[in-house]
Amino acid sequence: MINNKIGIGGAAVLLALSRIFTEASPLPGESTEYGMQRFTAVALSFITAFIAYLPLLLVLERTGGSSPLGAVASKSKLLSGFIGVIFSVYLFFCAAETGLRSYYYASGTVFDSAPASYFYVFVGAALLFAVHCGLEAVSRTGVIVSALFAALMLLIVFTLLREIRVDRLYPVLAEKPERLTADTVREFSRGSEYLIFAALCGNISGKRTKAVPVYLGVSCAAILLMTFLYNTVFGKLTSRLMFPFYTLSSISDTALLHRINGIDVIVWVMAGLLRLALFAFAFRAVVRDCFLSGKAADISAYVFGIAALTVSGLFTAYPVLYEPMKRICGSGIPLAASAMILPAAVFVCTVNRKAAA
Amino acid sequence: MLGKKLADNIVNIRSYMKNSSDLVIRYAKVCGIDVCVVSFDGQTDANKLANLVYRPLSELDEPGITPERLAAKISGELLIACDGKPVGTVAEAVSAAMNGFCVILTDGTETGYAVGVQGFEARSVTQPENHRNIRGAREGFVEALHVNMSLVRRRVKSNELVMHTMTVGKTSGTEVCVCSMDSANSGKLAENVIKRLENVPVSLVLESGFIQPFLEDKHPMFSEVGASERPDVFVSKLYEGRVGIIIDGSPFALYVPKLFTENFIMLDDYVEKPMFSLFIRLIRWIAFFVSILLPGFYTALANFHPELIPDALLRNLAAAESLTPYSVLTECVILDIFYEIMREAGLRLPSNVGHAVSIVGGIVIGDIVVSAGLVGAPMLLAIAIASISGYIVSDISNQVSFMRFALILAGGLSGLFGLTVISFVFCLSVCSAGSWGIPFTSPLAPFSLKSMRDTFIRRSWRELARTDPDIYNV
Amino acid sequence: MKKILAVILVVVMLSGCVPHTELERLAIAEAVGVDFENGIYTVTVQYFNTDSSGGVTAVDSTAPNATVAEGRGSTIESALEALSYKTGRSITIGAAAVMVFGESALFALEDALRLAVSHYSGNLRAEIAAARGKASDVMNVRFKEGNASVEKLEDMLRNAEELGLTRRITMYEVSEKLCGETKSVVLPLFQAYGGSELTEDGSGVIIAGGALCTGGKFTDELTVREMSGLAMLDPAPESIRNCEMTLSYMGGDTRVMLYKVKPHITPQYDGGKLSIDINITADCKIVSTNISEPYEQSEGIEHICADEVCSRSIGLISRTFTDNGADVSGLGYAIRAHSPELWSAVANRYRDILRSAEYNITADIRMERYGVVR
Repeated sequence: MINNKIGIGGAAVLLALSRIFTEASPLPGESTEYGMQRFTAVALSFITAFIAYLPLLLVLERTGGSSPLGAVASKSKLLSGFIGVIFSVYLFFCAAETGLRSYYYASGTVFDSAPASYFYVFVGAALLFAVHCGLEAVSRTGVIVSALFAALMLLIVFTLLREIRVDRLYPVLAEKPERLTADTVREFSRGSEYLIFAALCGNISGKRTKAVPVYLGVSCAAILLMTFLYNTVFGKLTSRLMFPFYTLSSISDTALLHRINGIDVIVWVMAGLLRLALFAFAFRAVVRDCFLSGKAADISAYVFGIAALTVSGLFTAYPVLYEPMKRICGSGIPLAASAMILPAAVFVCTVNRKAAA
Repeated sequence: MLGKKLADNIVNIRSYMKNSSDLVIRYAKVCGIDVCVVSFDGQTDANKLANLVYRPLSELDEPGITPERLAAKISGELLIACDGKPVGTVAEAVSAAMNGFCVILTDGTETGYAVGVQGFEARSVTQPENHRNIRGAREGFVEALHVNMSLVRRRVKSNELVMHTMTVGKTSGTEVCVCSMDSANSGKLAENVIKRLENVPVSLVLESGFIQPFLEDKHPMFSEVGASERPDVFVSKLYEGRVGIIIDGSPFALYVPKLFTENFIMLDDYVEKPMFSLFIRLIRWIAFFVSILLPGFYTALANFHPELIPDALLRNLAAAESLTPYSVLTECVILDIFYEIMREAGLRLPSNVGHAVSIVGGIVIGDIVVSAGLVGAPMLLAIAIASISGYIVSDISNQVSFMRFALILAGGLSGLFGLTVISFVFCLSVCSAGSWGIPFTSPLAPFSLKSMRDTFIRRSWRELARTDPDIYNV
Repeated sequence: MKKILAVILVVVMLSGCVPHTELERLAIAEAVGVDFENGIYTVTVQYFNTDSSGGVTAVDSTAPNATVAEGRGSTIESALEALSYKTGRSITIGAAAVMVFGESALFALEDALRLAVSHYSGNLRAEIAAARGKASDVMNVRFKEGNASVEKLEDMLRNAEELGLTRRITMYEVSEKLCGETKSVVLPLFQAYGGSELTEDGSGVIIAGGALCTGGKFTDELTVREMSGLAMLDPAPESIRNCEMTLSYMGGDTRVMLYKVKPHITPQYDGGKLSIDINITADCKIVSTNISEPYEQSEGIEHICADEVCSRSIGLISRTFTDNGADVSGLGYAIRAHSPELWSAVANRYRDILRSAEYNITADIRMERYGVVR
């Protein structure tokens, strides 16, 4: 396994791709509603996310290039162990959920008639290979996949220019104020990239705090553009579509390909694999910082990947297992708690160290 | 070590060479002192030897001269028209003789003198076979190291070009020359290259490919070492801060590091207008993707997702496939393997027979398999287009063939999903390559906007000339 | 790395049992007709005849290039299954370019479309139309020309739209309209006559107007003139030719082409009554005329053209909005865009409000181009 550092651009692109993946591959029950309120909810959720990142960004200066968890671990093994357990569990759930999202997306689109086990064997093999190749290779692949996504987006916009009906937009930003909070929280809770960044920021070279605003800005703009297309092209049909972005690509008529949903599949299957790999690397970083070191930490990433996909398979077979975890994580509380605990711990540890010095 | 007695030295040399038949030893008396000239048959030029060595020796007339004085006179005054170097051991003497020198041994002295009278038969400088271009020099590297070094030096008449020769291969004793332009980065790189070359364990180095694996990472598919037959391309690589290695006996010079995007850049791009360069580079990229993806996509769509194929095309494909006995995947695999067989056969055969193979394979069999209903015409077309496209990026045609085959299997067996997963694996594989401190996929991933000036597009020379290119700044 | 690569390749190869159907085993449906009678669905599929095409390798290039087959069942899915059983081929409707619903089957429009839209391979750009009588009659009309019948049907719809006789509508557009408050949509209406006899020029089928479906059933039939009102109220994008119309002016016929058609909608809600001002703006160009100096008559032509636009729009509005309470042109979106508060006030009773609303139609037509003949 290669352990080189990645650049700010590579990190921002990976995080953005991971966030947009959750938008393009919703789970059953996460339908996208038609209406202007979604613009407000998305914008608010990203503002909230930025606020949640702020404490971490502020304390990152104190860790001097290493990871925040590593900084905590150097001071208090108990505290870092506690945070490490929280992060590990949350990362594990997010990885299993990503597997589930990929499965629903693939089986809902091009992989419809194949057994679920094939899907997991395929994805598992590719995930192990990604973990083997290392974070740097995954980051570079992320750049290529994001270029493919940008090309897909451009193609969709250009081919659907005639279908865009701006009269379907209306000047109301909060139609149902009582639901706006719930929508915002739901969008915020999808941003589990916080954990990835917090765990992996020790692997980002340069001015790593810059990666966050770039990632948030890019993913916010992309999701707003996608929402705009859903609203203006599909109107009220949006809420009945399982994968609105896939459907957008399937009505995009290019001269050569007839419809471009094949490219859509390529982008999101790859993005799902990248997201899974990111969680595996984040887990490895947590293990390395808090529990084990050397080869054992590397092996833990492989074990994590296989275990997450196995649990994901169980979620597929028994959705009842997934529901309670989804309710907890979908509330945004674990994410918000993580966003408070880690910076606070880093702050306490570094203040103590400075005082001791 | 050479001794003072000439007879002993000759015995030692003969013994060292195990009385090899091509060892030529000529005896003479110069000013009354026994002298012998050791050389290898066919390695020296007879005219040079006669005019530049034997004649001055025979014309020397200094009675009473001591052996030491005679040796000094030979090395310092008589034979200064040629390269020369003193040799102190039997091994050195033999090595020099094997490299086309003649070694003059004088009775009563412990050192010999090697005179460069190389004259072995070598191919003349001709147009490169594999890296042809439209505008530009028609000179390609040949097998002789010193000829190749002179081809490089002729293009860089500057003290910045540094050449360092060394020997690689215990048995073959192949001379290699490490070339670099004198800059901070390439200096370090050159040291690193020399260090790696010194540790090459191969005893017989017959071609550049023998030492190439020791200059690259253990990547299964792609190599970070480039090979060129063209001195002009080689020099341009050196100018960008790379380090080049010329190997005696090989018309291919190596350079490190090589980037993935370089496979799509040709010398001709720099002599055309930038607009045409952009166009042709885009064509190369398209050809690359068509070559690896087209048959795989075809099998995936035909087997699993026919709805993605435009209606009119789908009708034709279905009609063509309905007449063939095999499945789409089987047809595709058979045709691809058949194509690889034809390619391999065409490569190794003499050109006149090769043409016959091409005609039999391409026209006769190609036409007959369709009209006999064994293979659908669209499938044949897809494989043909993919194969021809593969030649456009000839440096990685083997990798392209492998990826194409793997993607045919993935697409034909698991549809678009399998194709995507395998493409992802290949993508990761390419992205994980990169030794010498530069990612193989740069400047695409990690992306560098600055380097885009000469990646897809090629800016005009007015703009390119403003800054010197540096491989470490991509 | 090599080992992992090898493992992945082996995994891919071993999974050769991922089920699929070979291309030649598929019946590639090009057009689908749905009928309903006595509780039984009849699905008529026009699928491609592989023997007739494929360039020089065609088995019989003179054979009809489309085969028609019928399947029956208590649901559309079971009818498709029966069809598959009957033909011995797997029916794929992913490439179907046209879906025609018989009058009696229009109530199943929503369910049928949900079936097609929900399937990943469904062609959401397929054109949807209704048939007066049975859809199977339309499917069975054959043309002597080399192309498949479905291409003829598509061409007919395209031409009719350009002439302003109808408005084409795709599967996802119909689905979108059925999600609206009034669940209303107007489909182009085919009428077949002559059964399955071969026709020289396609005269065995005509576009007879439009079929209005509201709340999941066939409500009303629109004339061609009423259908042409859709070109004014729900126009095609600005960039393309919208429709043509023939005007009687100065004792002769002048044919004009409208483009950049845009309805400007201003709703007002006062005392429980909705009043909607619709101002239609468009540019027009003379296609043919027997007026010698048309540019001198531009004002007159503009005026008469505006009258015609208003007349056609009123025809559509009175038949759909007023008579049936059916919003077929996306008026609701316009009301909401204009005034979200107004929309929230009327959305619950939208159908009733549409019936009682007052519509004031005006048109501003500008003659921009005169054609090439003086």
